[in-house]
Amino acid sequence: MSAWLPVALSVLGGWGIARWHRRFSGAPGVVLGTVLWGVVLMGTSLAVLDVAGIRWTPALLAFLALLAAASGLLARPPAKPSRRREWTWGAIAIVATAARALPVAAVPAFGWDFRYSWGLKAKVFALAGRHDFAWLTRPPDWLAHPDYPPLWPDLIASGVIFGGDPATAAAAWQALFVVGIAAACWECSASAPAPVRALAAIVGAWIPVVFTPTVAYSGYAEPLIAFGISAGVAALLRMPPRNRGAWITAAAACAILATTKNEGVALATALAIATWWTASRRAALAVAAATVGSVACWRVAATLHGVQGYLSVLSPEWVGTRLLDLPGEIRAVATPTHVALLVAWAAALAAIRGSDAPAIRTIVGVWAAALVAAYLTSPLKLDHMLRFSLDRELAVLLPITVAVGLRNARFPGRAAVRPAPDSAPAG
Amino acid sequence: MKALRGWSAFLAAAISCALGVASLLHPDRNLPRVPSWEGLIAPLAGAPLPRGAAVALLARTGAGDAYNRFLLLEAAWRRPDVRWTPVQEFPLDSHCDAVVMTDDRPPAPGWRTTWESGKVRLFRRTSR
Repeated sequence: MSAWLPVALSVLGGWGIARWHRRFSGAPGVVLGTVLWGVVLMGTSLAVLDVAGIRWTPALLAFLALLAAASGLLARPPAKPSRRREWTWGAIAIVATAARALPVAAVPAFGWDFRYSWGLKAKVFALAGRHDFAWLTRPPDWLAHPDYPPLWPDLIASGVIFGGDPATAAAAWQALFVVGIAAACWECSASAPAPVRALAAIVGAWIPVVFTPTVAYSGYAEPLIAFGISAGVAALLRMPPRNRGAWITAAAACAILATTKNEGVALATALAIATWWTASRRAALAVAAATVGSVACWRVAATLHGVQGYLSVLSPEWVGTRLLDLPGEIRAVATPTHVALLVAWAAALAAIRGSDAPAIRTIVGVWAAALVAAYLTSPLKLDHMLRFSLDRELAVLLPITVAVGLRNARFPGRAAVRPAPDSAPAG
Repeated sequence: MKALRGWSAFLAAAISCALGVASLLHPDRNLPRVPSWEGLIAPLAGAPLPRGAAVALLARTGAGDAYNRFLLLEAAWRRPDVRWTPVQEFPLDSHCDAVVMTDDRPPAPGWRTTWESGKVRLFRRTSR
Protein backbone atom coordinates (compact mmCIF):
# COMPACT_ATOMS: atom_id res chain seq x y z
CA MET A 1 0.00 0.00 0.00
CA SER A 2 2.89 2.35 0.74
CA ALA A 3 3.91 2.26 -2.92
CA TRP A 4 0.57 3.90 -3.67
CA LEU A 5 1.06 6.80 -1.26
CA PRO A 6 3.18 9.00 -3.53
CA VAL A 7 0.73 8.41 -6.38
CA ALA A 8 -2.18 9.44 -4.16
CA LEU A 9 -0.25 12.46 -2.91
CA SER A 10 0.65 13.43 -6.47
CA VAL A 11 -3.00 13.24 -7.45
CA LEU A 12 -3.89 15.52 -4.53
CA GLY A 13 -1.13 18.00 -5.36
CA GLY A 14 -1.86 17.77 -9.07
CA TRP A 15 -5.50 18.57 -8.38
CA GLY A 16 -4.41 21.69 -6.51
CA ILE A 17 -2.17 22.93 -9.31
CA ALA A 18 -4.78 22.03 -11.94
CA ARG A 19 -7.28 24.29 -10.16
CA TRP A 20 -4.90 27.23 -10.54
CA HIS A 21 -4.22 26.24 -14.11
CA ARG A 22 -7.92 26.23 -14.96
CA ARG A 23 -8.04 29.96 -14.41
CA PHE A 24 -6.45 30.24 -17.85
CA SER A 25 -8.47 29.61 -20.96
CA GLY A 26 -7.64 26.42 -22.82
CA ALA A 27 -6.56 24.59 -19.66
CA PRO A 28 -7.31 20.87 -19.51
CA GLY A 29 -10.20 19.44 -17.54
CA VAL A 30 -9.95 18.20 -13.98
CA VAL A 31 -8.84 14.63 -14.71
CA LEU A 32 -6.18 15.36 -17.32
CA GLY A 33 -4.94 18.40 -15.40
CA THR A 34 -4.68 16.41 -12.17
CA VAL A 35 -2.66 13.59 -13.74
CA LEU A 36 -0.44 15.99 -15.69
CA TRP A 37 0.40 18.21 -12.73
CA GLY A 38 0.67 15.25 -10.38
CA VAL A 39 3.45 13.78 -12.52
CA VAL A 40 5.12 17.17 -12.96
CA LEU A 41 4.85 17.91 -9.24
CA MET A 42 6.48 14.65 -8.13
CA GLY A 43 9.19 14.82 -10.80
CA THR A 44 9.98 18.45 -10.08
CA SER A 45 9.97 17.94 -6.31
CA LEU A 46 12.55 15.16 -6.59
CA ALA A 47 14.71 17.11 -9.05
CA VAL A 48 14.68 20.34 -7.05
CA LEU A 49 15.44 18.57 -3.76
CA ASP A 50 18.36 16.81 -5.45
CA VAL A 51 19.77 20.03 -6.87
CA ALA A 52 19.35 21.70 -3.48
CA GLY A 53 21.28 18.86 -1.85
CA ILE A 54 18.31 17.83 0.31
CA ARG A 55 17.80 14.11 0.79
CA TRP A 56 14.49 12.70 -0.48
CA THR A 57 12.24 11.74 2.41
CA PRO A 58 8.56 10.75 2.60
CA ALA A 59 7.82 13.71 4.86
CA LEU A 60 9.26 16.25 2.43
CA LEU A 61 7.51 14.78 -0.59
CA ALA A 62 4.22 14.59 1.31
CA PHE A 63 4.63 18.16 2.53
CA LEU A 64 5.18 19.53 -0.99
CA ALA A 65 2.22 17.59 -2.39
CA LEU A 66 -0.10 18.65 0.43
CA LEU A 67 1.08 22.24 0.05
CA ALA A 68 0.10 22.14 -3.63
CA ALA A 69 -3.24 20.55 -2.74
CA ALA A 70 -3.94 23.17 -0.07
CA SER A 71 -3.05 26.00 -2.44
CA GLY A 72 -5.63 24.62 -4.85
CA LEU A 73 -8.32 25.27 -2.26
CA LEU A 74 -7.54 28.97 -2.60
CA ALA A 75 -7.93 28.93 -6.38
CA ARG A 76 -11.32 29.61 -7.86
CA PRO A 77 -11.44 28.12 -11.31
CA PRO A 78 -14.30 29.48 -13.40
CA ALA A 79 -17.25 27.12 -13.47
CA LYS A 80 -17.60 25.26 -16.76
CA PRO A 81 -21.02 24.80 -18.31
CA SER A 82 -22.63 21.53 -17.39
CA ARG A 83 -22.78 18.83 -20.05
CA ARG A 84 -25.58 16.66 -18.75
CA ARG A 85 -25.93 14.74 -21.98
CA GLU A 86 -22.45 13.36 -21.61
CA TRP A 87 -23.01 11.66 -18.27
CA THR A 88 -24.07 8.33 -19.76
CA TRP A 89 -21.24 8.21 -22.23
CA GLY A 90 -18.85 9.61 -19.66
CA ALA A 91 -19.81 6.76 -17.35
CA ILE A 92 -19.17 4.25 -20.14
CA ALA A 93 -15.75 5.80 -20.73
CA ILE A 94 -14.98 5.65 -17.00
CA VAL A 95 -15.96 1.98 -16.76
CA ALA A 96 -13.87 1.08 -19.81
CA THR A 97 -10.91 3.03 -18.44
CA ALA A 98 -11.24 1.39 -15.04
CA ALA A 99 -11.38 -2.00 -16.74
CA ARG A 100 -7.90 -1.26 -18.11
CA ALA A 101 -6.41 0.66 -15.19
CA LEU A 102 -7.31 -1.84 -12.46
CA PRO A 103 -5.58 -4.86 -14.04
CA VAL A 104 -2.55 -2.67 -14.78
CA ALA A 105 -2.48 -1.60 -11.13
CA ALA A 106 -2.91 -5.15 -9.88
CA VAL A 107 0.13 -6.65 -11.60
CA PRO A 108 3.50 -5.52 -10.18
CA ALA A 109 5.95 -4.70 -12.97
CA PHE A 110 8.26 -7.55 -13.97
CA GLY A 111 9.74 -6.76 -17.40
CA TRP A 112 13.45 -7.21 -17.92
CA ASP A 113 14.17 -3.59 -18.73
CA PHE A 114 12.12 -2.71 -15.67
CA ARG A 115 14.10 -5.06 -13.45
CA TYR A 116 17.54 -4.20 -14.78
CA SER A 117 17.15 -0.59 -15.86
CA TRP A 118 14.17 1.50 -14.69
CA GLY A 119 13.43 -0.31 -11.43
CA LEU A 120 17.08 -0.90 -10.61
CA LYS A 121 17.85 2.80 -10.95
CA ALA A 122 14.79 3.58 -8.84
CA LYS A 123 16.11 1.34 -6.06
CA VAL A 124 19.54 2.95 -6.25
CA PHE A 125 18.15 6.50 -6.23
CA ALA A 126 15.79 5.76 -3.35
CA LEU A 127 18.63 4.28 -1.30
CA ALA A 128 20.82 7.31 -1.95
CA GLY A 129 17.95 9.75 -1.45
CA ARG A 130 19.00 11.53 -4.64
CA HIS A 131 20.25 10.86 -8.16
CA ASP A 132 23.26 8.68 -7.45
CA PHE A 133 25.70 9.92 -10.07
CA ALA A 134 28.52 7.80 -8.66
CA TRP A 135 26.47 4.70 -9.50
CA LEU A 136 25.41 6.09 -12.89
CA THR A 137 29.04 6.74 -13.77
CA ARG A 138 29.93 3.13 -13.08
CA PRO A 139 26.83 0.95 -13.37
CA PRO A 140 27.16 -2.84 -13.15
CA ASP A 141 26.15 -3.04 -16.81
CA TRP A 142 25.33 -0.57 -19.57
CA LEU A 143 21.93 -2.23 -19.99
CA ALA A 144 20.92 0.03 -17.12
CA HIS A 145 21.10 3.00 -19.54
CA PRO A 146 22.67 5.39 -17.03
CA ASP A 147 22.46 8.32 -19.45
CA TYR A 148 18.68 8.18 -19.91
CA PRO A 149 16.72 11.07 -18.38
CA PRO A 150 15.50 10.09 -14.92
CA LEU A 151 11.78 10.88 -14.64
CA TRP A 152 10.46 7.31 -14.84
CA PRO A 153 12.94 5.87 -12.30
CA ASP A 154 12.30 8.92 -10.13
CA LEU A 155 8.56 8.28 -10.06
CA ILE A 156 9.16 4.62 -9.19
CA ALA A 157 11.71 5.69 -6.57
CA SER A 158 9.05 7.81 -4.88
CA GLY A 159 7.19 4.60 -4.07
CA VAL A 160 10.35 3.01 -2.70
CA ILE A 161 11.01 6.07 -0.55
CA PHE A 162 7.60 5.57 1.03
CA GLY A 163 8.51 1.97 1.86
CA GLY A 164 6.93 0.23 -1.10
CA ASP A 165 8.57 -2.08 -3.59
CA PRO A 166 9.47 -0.74 -7.04
CA ALA A 167 7.33 -3.24 -8.94
CA THR A 168 4.16 -2.16 -7.15
CA ALA A 169 5.11 1.50 -7.44
CA ALA A 170 5.55 1.18 -11.21
CA ALA A 171 2.16 -0.52 -11.54
CA ALA A 172 0.50 2.21 -9.49
CA TRP A 173 1.95 4.99 -11.63
CA GLN A 174 1.09 3.17 -14.84
CA ALA A 175 -2.55 2.83 -13.77
CA LEU A 176 -2.55 6.60 -13.40
CA PHE A 177 -1.14 6.96 -16.91
CA VAL A 178 -4.01 4.84 -18.27
CA VAL A 179 -6.40 7.38 -16.79
CA GLY A 180 -4.32 10.27 -18.15
CA ILE A 181 -4.15 8.91 -21.71
CA ALA A 182 -7.91 8.23 -21.71
CA ALA A 183 -8.62 11.75 -20.41
CA ALA A 184 -6.36 13.31 -23.06
CA CYS A 185 -8.14 11.40 -25.84
CA TRP A 186 -11.54 12.36 -24.40
CA GLU A 187 -10.56 16.03 -24.34
CA CYS A 188 -8.93 15.87 -27.76
CA SER A 189 -12.19 14.76 -29.35
CA ALA A 190 -14.11 17.59 -27.67
CA SER A 191 -15.92 18.63 -30.83
CA ALA A 192 -17.40 15.17 -31.40
CA PRO A 193 -20.69 13.86 -30.00
CA ALA A 194 -20.54 12.18 -26.61
CA PRO A 195 -20.53 8.58 -27.96
CA VAL A 196 -17.52 9.38 -30.13
CA ARG A 197 -15.73 11.05 -27.23
CA ALA A 198 -16.33 7.95 -25.16
CA LEU A 199 -14.88 5.86 -27.97
CA ALA A 200 -11.82 8.12 -28.06
CA ALA A 201 -11.33 7.68 -24.31
CA ILE A 202 -11.60 3.91 -24.69
CA VAL A 203 -9.00 4.01 -27.48
CA GLY A 204 -6.72 5.89 -25.09
CA ALA A 205 -7.24 3.55 -22.15
CA TRP A 206 -6.83 0.47 -24.31
CA ILE A 207 -3.64 1.65 -25.97
CA PRO A 208 -2.04 -1.20 -27.92
CA VAL A 209 1.11 -3.07 -26.93
CA VAL A 210 2.59 -0.95 -24.13
CA PHE A 211 0.72 -2.62 -21.26
CA THR A 212 1.26 -6.17 -22.53
CA PRO A 213 1.83 -8.34 -19.44
CA THR A 214 5.07 -10.01 -20.53
CA VAL A 215 8.75 -9.59 -19.69
CA ALA A 216 9.25 -7.58 -22.90
CA TYR A 217 6.89 -4.75 -21.89
CA SER A 218 5.91 -4.75 -18.21
CA GLY A 219 7.02 -1.66 -16.30
CA TYR A 220 8.66 0.05 -19.26
CA ALA A 221 8.66 3.82 -19.86
CA GLU A 222 6.39 3.88 -22.91
CA PRO A 223 3.12 4.44 -21.01
CA LEU A 224 4.59 7.62 -19.53
CA ILE A 225 5.70 8.74 -22.99
CA ALA A 226 2.26 7.92 -24.40
CA PHE A 227 0.66 9.98 -21.66
CA GLY A 228 3.01 12.93 -22.26
CA ILE A 229 2.46 13.09 -26.01
CA SER A 230 -1.31 12.56 -25.63
CA ALA A 231 -1.56 15.49 -23.21
CA GLY A 232 0.66 17.59 -25.47
CA VAL A 233 -1.32 16.94 -28.65
CA ALA A 234 -4.62 17.56 -26.86
CA ALA A 235 -3.23 20.93 -25.75
CA LEU A 236 -1.80 21.82 -29.15
CA LEU A 237 -5.16 21.38 -30.85
CA ARG A 238 -6.83 23.81 -28.47
CA MET A 239 -4.27 26.53 -28.91
CA PRO A 240 -5.78 29.63 -30.48
CA PRO A 241 -3.62 32.71 -29.92
CA ARG A 242 -4.61 33.66 -26.41
CA ASN A 243 -5.23 30.23 -24.90
CA ARG A 244 -2.43 30.46 -22.38
CA GLY A 245 -3.79 27.46 -20.50
CA ALA A 246 -3.10 25.29 -23.53
CA TRP A 247 0.48 26.58 -23.92
CA ILE A 248 1.16 25.77 -20.30
CA THR A 249 -0.23 22.26 -20.75
CA ALA A 250 1.88 21.64 -23.85
CA ALA A 251 4.97 22.97 -22.09
CA ALA A 252 4.36 20.69 -19.09
CA ALA A 253 3.82 17.73 -21.41
CA CYS A 254 7.09 18.49 -23.19
CA ALA A 255 8.91 18.66 -19.86
CA ILE A 256 7.56 15.18 -19.03
CA LEU A 257 8.56 13.80 -22.43
CA ALA A 258 12.00 15.36 -22.45
CA THR A 259 12.88 13.93 -19.04
CA THR A 260 11.61 10.41 -19.71
CA LYS A 261 13.65 8.82 -22.48
CA ASN A 262 15.40 9.69 -25.73
CA GLU A 263 12.21 8.83 -27.60
CA GLY A 264 10.44 11.29 -25.34
CA VAL A 265 12.96 13.97 -26.30
CA ALA A 266 12.19 13.30 -29.97
CA LEU A 267 8.43 13.57 -29.36
CA ALA A 268 8.84 16.77 -27.33
CA THR A 269 10.87 18.21 -30.20
CA ALA A 270 8.16 17.16 -32.64
CA LEU A 271 5.52 18.86 -30.49
CA ALA A 272 7.61 22.03 -30.29
CA ILE A 273 8.09 22.11 -34.08
CA ALA A 274 4.37 21.50 -34.65
CA THR A 275 3.56 24.32 -32.26
CA TRP A 276 5.88 26.60 -34.22
CA TRP A 277 4.16 25.72 -37.51
CA THR A 278 0.58 25.82 -36.35
CA ALA A 279 0.24 28.07 -33.30
CA SER A 280 1.60 31.42 -32.17
CA ARG A 281 5.31 32.12 -31.84
CA ARG A 282 4.92 32.86 -28.14
CA ALA A 283 3.32 29.46 -27.58
CA ALA A 284 6.07 27.80 -29.58
CA LEU A 285 8.74 29.58 -27.56
CA ALA A 286 7.14 28.42 -24.29
CA VAL A 287 6.96 24.82 -25.50
CA ALA A 288 10.49 24.91 -26.93
CA ALA A 289 11.85 26.44 -23.74
CA ALA A 290 10.28 23.67 -21.65
CA THR A 291 11.77 21.04 -23.96
CA VAL A 292 15.25 22.51 -24.24
CA GLY A 293 15.36 23.44 -20.55
CA SER A 294 14.38 19.94 -19.44
CA VAL A 295 16.81 18.22 -21.78
CA ALA A 296 19.62 20.63 -20.90
CA CYS A 297 19.17 20.30 -17.12
CA TRP A 298 19.67 16.53 -17.24
CA ARG A 299 22.36 16.51 -19.93
CA VAL A 300 24.44 19.15 -18.16
CA ALA A 301 24.17 17.34 -14.82
CA ALA A 302 24.98 13.97 -16.42
CA THR A 303 27.91 15.37 -18.40
CA LEU A 304 29.36 17.20 -15.40
CA HIS A 305 29.33 13.93 -13.46
CA GLY A 306 30.82 11.96 -16.35
CA VAL A 307 27.80 9.76 -17.02
CA GLN A 308 28.06 8.00 -20.36
CA GLY A 309 25.78 5.88 -22.51
CA TYR A 310 25.66 4.29 -25.91
CA LEU A 311 27.10 6.61 -28.52
CA SER A 312 25.40 6.85 -31.90
CA VAL A 313 27.46 5.73 -34.88
CA LEU A 314 27.43 8.48 -37.49
CA SER A 315 29.82 7.08 -40.08
CA PRO A 316 28.28 7.15 -43.57
CA GLU A 317 29.29 3.54 -44.13
CA TRP A 318 27.46 2.32 -41.01
CA VAL A 319 24.36 4.41 -41.67
CA GLY A 320 24.29 3.49 -45.36
CA THR A 321 24.56 -0.24 -44.68
CA ARG A 322 21.78 -0.13 -42.11
CA LEU A 323 19.61 1.96 -44.41
CA LEU A 324 19.89 -0.70 -47.08
CA ASP A 325 19.22 -3.44 -44.52
CA LEU A 326 16.27 -1.71 -42.88
CA PRO A 327 13.42 -2.78 -45.22
CA GLY A 328 14.52 -6.41 -45.19
CA GLU A 329 14.99 -6.44 -41.43
CA ILE A 330 11.55 -4.94 -40.91
CA ARG A 331 10.03 -7.64 -43.11
CA ALA A 332 11.96 -10.27 -41.17
CA VAL A 333 10.72 -9.20 -37.75
CA ALA A 334 7.20 -8.10 -38.74
CA THR A 335 4.33 -9.80 -36.94
CA PRO A 336 0.57 -9.49 -37.39
CA THR A 337 0.64 -6.90 -34.61
CA HIS A 338 3.02 -4.70 -36.62
CA VAL A 339 0.79 -5.01 -39.67
CA ALA A 340 -2.34 -4.17 -37.67
CA LEU A 341 -0.58 -1.17 -36.13
CA LEU A 342 0.38 0.12 -39.56
CA VAL A 343 -3.17 -0.35 -40.88
CA ALA A 344 -4.51 1.53 -37.84
CA TRP A 345 -1.96 4.29 -38.50
CA ALA A 346 -2.99 4.57 -42.14
CA ALA A 347 -6.67 4.74 -41.23
CA ALA A 348 -6.06 7.27 -38.45
CA LEU A 349 -4.02 9.57 -40.67
CA ALA A 350 -6.57 9.31 -43.47
CA ALA A 351 -9.29 10.41 -41.06
CA ILE A 352 -7.57 13.64 -40.03
CA ARG A 353 -8.59 16.73 -41.94
CA GLY A 354 -8.87 20.48 -41.73
CA SER A 355 -6.84 22.58 -39.36
CA ASP A 356 -5.78 19.51 -37.34
CA ALA A 357 -3.87 17.97 -40.21
CA PRO A 358 -0.74 20.16 -40.34
CA ALA A 359 -0.01 19.76 -36.62
CA ILE A 360 -0.48 16.00 -36.59
CA ARG A 361 1.41 15.45 -39.84
CA THR A 362 4.31 17.51 -38.49
CA ILE A 363 4.46 15.52 -35.25
CA VAL A 364 4.18 12.17 -37.01
CA GLY A 365 6.76 13.20 -39.63
CA VAL A 366 9.33 14.38 -37.09
CA TRP A 367 8.68 11.33 -34.92
CA ALA A 368 9.09 8.93 -37.85
CA ALA A 369 12.31 10.66 -38.94
CA ALA A 370 13.71 10.51 -35.42
CA LEU A 371 12.82 6.84 -35.15
CA VAL A 372 14.51 5.95 -38.43
CA ALA A 373 17.55 8.02 -37.45
CA ALA A 374 17.76 6.15 -34.13
CA TYR A 375 17.61 2.77 -35.85
CA LEU A 376 20.22 3.78 -38.42
CA THR A 377 22.76 5.23 -35.99
CA SER A 378 22.45 2.84 -33.06
CA PRO A 379 25.47 0.65 -32.32
CA LEU A 380 23.12 -2.22 -31.41
CA LYS A 381 22.07 -4.94 -33.85
CA LEU A 382 19.28 -3.71 -36.12
CA ASP A 383 17.15 -6.86 -35.97
CA HIS A 384 17.40 -6.90 -32.17
CA MET A 385 16.30 -3.28 -31.92
CA LEU A 386 13.41 -3.74 -34.31
CA ARG A 387 12.25 -6.95 -32.67
CA PHE A 388 12.13 -5.47 -29.18
CA SER A 389 11.04 -1.88 -29.83
CA LEU A 390 9.25 -1.30 -33.13
CA ASP A 391 5.78 -2.25 -31.90
CA ARG A 392 6.15 -0.10 -28.78
CA GLU A 393 7.29 2.87 -30.84
CA LEU A 394 4.40 2.45 -33.27
CA ALA A 395 1.95 2.32 -30.36
CA VAL A 396 2.82 5.34 -28.19
CA LEU A 397 1.46 8.00 -30.53
CA LEU A 398 -1.38 5.98 -32.02
CA PRO A 399 -4.27 6.55 -29.56
CA ILE A 400 -4.07 10.34 -29.60
CA THR A 401 -3.78 10.31 -33.41
CA VAL A 402 -6.91 8.15 -33.58
CA ALA A 403 -8.62 10.56 -31.18
CA VAL A 404 -7.77 13.48 -33.46
CA GLY A 405 -9.31 11.59 -36.37
CA LEU A 406 -12.44 11.00 -34.27
CA ARG A 407 -12.85 14.75 -33.60
CA ASN A 408 -14.82 15.17 -36.78
CA ALA A 409 -16.38 11.72 -36.96
CA ARG A 410 -20.10 11.17 -36.52
CA PHE A 411 -21.99 7.94 -36.08
CA PRO A 412 -24.10 7.22 -39.18
CA GLY A 413 -27.52 8.84 -39.07
CA ARG A 414 -26.56 11.41 -36.46
CA ALA A 415 -26.25 15.07 -37.32
CA ALA A 416 -23.33 17.14 -36.20
CA VAL A 417 -23.96 18.51 -32.78
CA ARG A 418 -22.33 21.39 -31.04
CA PRO A 419 -19.20 23.37 -31.79
CA ALA A 420 -16.00 22.50 -29.98
CA PRO A 421 -15.76 24.14 -26.59
CA ASP A 422 -11.99 24.20 -26.91
CA SER A 423 -11.57 27.76 -27.97
CA ALA A 424 -13.98 29.16 -25.44
CA PRO A 425 -12.48 30.65 -22.29
CA ALA A 426 -12.70 28.27 -19.34
CA GLY A 427 -15.62 30.12 -17.92
CA MET B 1 -15.22 11.92 -48.84
CA LYS B 2 -16.33 13.18 -45.43
CA ALA B 3 -18.15 9.93 -44.71
CA LEU B 4 -15.11 7.96 -45.83
CA ARG B 5 -12.95 9.88 -43.38
CA GLY B 6 -15.44 9.13 -40.63
CA TRP B 7 -15.36 5.41 -41.37
CA SER B 8 -11.59 5.59 -41.52
CA ALA B 9 -11.54 7.08 -38.01
CA PHE B 10 -13.80 4.32 -36.70
CA LEU B 11 -11.68 1.67 -38.38
CA ALA B 12 -8.55 3.06 -36.74
CA ALA B 13 -10.32 3.15 -33.37
CA ALA B 14 -11.55 -0.43 -33.75
CA ILE B 15 -8.12 -1.79 -34.67
CA SER B 16 -6.42 0.16 -31.89
CA CYS B 17 -8.88 -1.10 -29.28
CA ALA B 18 -8.65 -4.65 -30.62
CA LEU B 19 -4.87 -4.52 -30.32
CA GLY B 20 -5.21 -3.24 -26.77
CA VAL B 21 -7.44 -6.18 -25.86
CA ALA B 22 -5.19 -8.58 -27.79
CA SER B 23 -2.22 -7.48 -25.71
CA LEU B 24 -3.85 -9.25 -22.76
CA LEU B 25 -3.84 -12.46 -24.77
CA HIS B 26 -0.19 -12.26 -25.84
CA PRO B 27 1.23 -15.79 -26.24
CA ASP B 28 4.11 -14.95 -23.88
CA ARG B 29 1.82 -13.89 -21.04
CA ASN B 30 2.10 -17.23 -19.28
CA LEU B 31 5.88 -17.45 -19.45
CA PRO B 32 7.75 -17.17 -16.13
CA ARG B 33 7.82 -13.63 -14.81
CA VAL B 34 11.04 -14.06 -12.88
CA PRO B 35 14.33 -14.98 -14.54
CA SER B 36 15.70 -18.50 -14.19
CA TRP B 37 18.77 -17.21 -12.34
CA GLU B 38 16.70 -15.50 -9.66
CA GLY B 39 16.68 -18.52 -7.36
CA LEU B 40 20.43 -18.97 -7.71
CA ILE B 41 21.28 -15.46 -6.55
CA ALA B 42 18.32 -14.88 -4.19
CA PRO B 43 20.21 -15.79 -0.96
CA LEU B 44 22.44 -12.80 -1.62
CA ALA B 45 19.76 -10.66 0.01
CA GLY B 46 21.03 -11.82 3.40
CA ALA B 47 24.76 -11.52 2.73
CA PRO B 48 26.68 -9.39 5.25
CA LEU B 49 27.88 -6.70 2.85
CA PRO B 50 28.40 -3.17 4.15
CA ARG B 51 26.57 -0.45 2.29
CA GLY B 52 28.64 1.06 -0.50
CA ALA B 53 31.15 -1.82 -0.51
CA ALA B 54 32.90 -2.66 -3.78
CA VAL B 55 31.97 -6.26 -4.50
CA ALA B 56 33.05 -8.48 -7.40
CA LEU B 57 30.77 -11.15 -8.82
CA LEU B 58 32.76 -14.05 -10.19
CA ALA B 59 31.61 -15.34 -13.56
CA ARG B 60 29.94 -18.71 -13.20
CA THR B 61 31.97 -21.56 -14.65
CA GLY B 62 30.48 -22.92 -17.85
CA ALA B 63 27.86 -20.20 -18.14
CA GLY B 64 27.77 -17.96 -21.19
CA ASP B 65 28.50 -14.26 -21.26
CA ALA B 66 24.82 -13.37 -21.46
CA TYR B 67 23.96 -15.52 -18.44
CA ASN B 68 26.77 -14.00 -16.38
CA ARG B 69 25.73 -10.53 -17.46
CA PHE B 70 22.19 -11.06 -16.24
CA LEU B 71 23.43 -12.75 -13.08
CA LEU B 72 25.35 -9.56 -12.32
CA LEU B 73 22.30 -7.42 -12.98
CA GLU B 74 20.22 -9.68 -10.73
CA ALA B 75 22.87 -9.29 -8.01
CA ALA B 76 22.52 -5.51 -8.40
CA TRP B 77 18.73 -5.83 -8.25
CA ARG B 78 19.01 -7.88 -5.03
CA ARG B 79 21.67 -5.70 -3.46
CA PRO B 80 21.57 -2.20 -4.96
CA ASP B 81 23.32 -0.93 -1.84
CA VAL B 82 26.74 -2.20 -2.95
CA ARG B 83 28.87 -1.49 -6.04
CA TRP B 84 29.08 -4.49 -8.32
CA THR B 85 31.89 -5.40 -10.72
CA PRO B 86 32.03 -8.47 -12.96
CA VAL B 87 35.27 -10.48 -12.80
CA GLN B 88 36.46 -13.72 -14.38
CA GLU B 89 38.90 -14.71 -11.59
CA PHE B 90 39.57 -13.66 -8.01
CA PRO B 91 40.71 -10.03 -8.27
CA LEU B 92 44.22 -10.13 -6.85
CA ASP B 93 45.06 -6.52 -7.63
CA SER B 94 41.92 -4.46 -7.33
CA HIS B 95 39.98 -2.34 -4.89
CA CYS B 96 37.48 -5.17 -4.27
CA ASP B 97 37.79 -6.72 -0.84
CA ALA B 98 34.76 -8.96 -1.27
CA VAL B 99 33.93 -11.55 -3.90
CA VAL B 100 30.66 -13.37 -4.45
CA MET B 101 30.69 -16.74 -6.19
CA THR B 102 27.79 -18.95 -7.27
CA ASP B 103 29.64 -22.15 -8.22
CA ASP B 104 31.88 -24.65 -6.44
CA ARG B 105 35.32 -23.41 -7.39
CA PRO B 106 37.87 -23.27 -4.60
CA PRO B 107 38.94 -19.77 -3.58
CA ALA B 108 42.28 -18.36 -4.65
CA PRO B 109 45.06 -18.18 -2.06
CA GLY B 110 44.61 -15.15 0.15
CA TRP B 111 40.81 -15.42 0.21
CA ARG B 112 38.53 -17.16 2.69
CA THR B 113 34.83 -17.94 2.84
CA THR B 114 33.07 -15.66 5.31
CA TRP B 115 29.44 -16.46 4.54
CA GLU B 116 27.43 -18.83 2.43
CA SER B 117 23.80 -19.62 1.71
CA GLY B 118 22.57 -21.96 -0.98
CA LYS B 119 25.04 -21.73 -3.84
CA VAL B 120 26.08 -18.20 -2.98
CA ARG B 121 29.40 -17.83 -1.18
CA LEU B 122 31.02 -14.62 0.01
CA PHE B 123 34.80 -14.39 0.19
CA ARG B 124 37.04 -11.81 1.81
CA ARG B 125 40.77 -11.31 1.66
CA THR B 126 42.88 -12.79 4.37
CA SER B 127 45.80 -10.59 3.38
CA ARG B 128 46.86 -8.07 0.75
